[in-house]
Amino acid sequence: MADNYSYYMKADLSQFIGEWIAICDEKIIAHDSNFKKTFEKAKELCPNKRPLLTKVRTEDTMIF
Amino acid sequence: MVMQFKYKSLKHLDGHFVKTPSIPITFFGPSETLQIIAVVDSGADVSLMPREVAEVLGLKLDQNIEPAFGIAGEVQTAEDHVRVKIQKGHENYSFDITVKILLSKDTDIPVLIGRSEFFEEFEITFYEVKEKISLKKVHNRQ
Repeated sequence: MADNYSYYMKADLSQFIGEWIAICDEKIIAHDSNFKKTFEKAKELCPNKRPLLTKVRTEDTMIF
Repeated sequence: MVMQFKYKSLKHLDGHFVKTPSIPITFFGPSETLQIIAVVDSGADVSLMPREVAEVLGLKLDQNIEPAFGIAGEVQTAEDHVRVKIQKGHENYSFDITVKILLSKDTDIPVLIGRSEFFEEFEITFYEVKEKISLKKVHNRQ
């Protein structure tokens, strides 16, 4: 996970705002607004490995 | 003893940056294990995750259904427990936390780590100017 996390910290994710992304082997291999679609695609493209998943937050200020 | 994580900086289309205290966490569910970067939210009483993430993990969506309240309003939630692992370098810690599961579909929230249980495992310090978060393990808990 450490390498994928390092990639995440350095990556420009502005084109994925509002989407879930999956990172495997230090690259973004899947992205979609739907979590399950992102995860399933990532499993297909990166078998036998565990992708790092995250939601790229929107421009809105986050309050809950 | 201390794990530090930098805030993630995200540049938006208008050029301004949003910085978020987020950390990588492994969630061990009955059906799946997921590595997810979650947002640490000191204002949230409990941890919260979208329904779709809980479904993939195999968590139960029919337990303790009740409304939860935030500034954004009232939402319907279920509740389950999940084992989490946080790791940085040679340090790694695993324990169970309670999670509220947001039952509405297609919500626009990330996985949020709230105070209950998680914040009892660490002394957590937010360094807003330095843009980092520090987690120091508390060892007097079982």
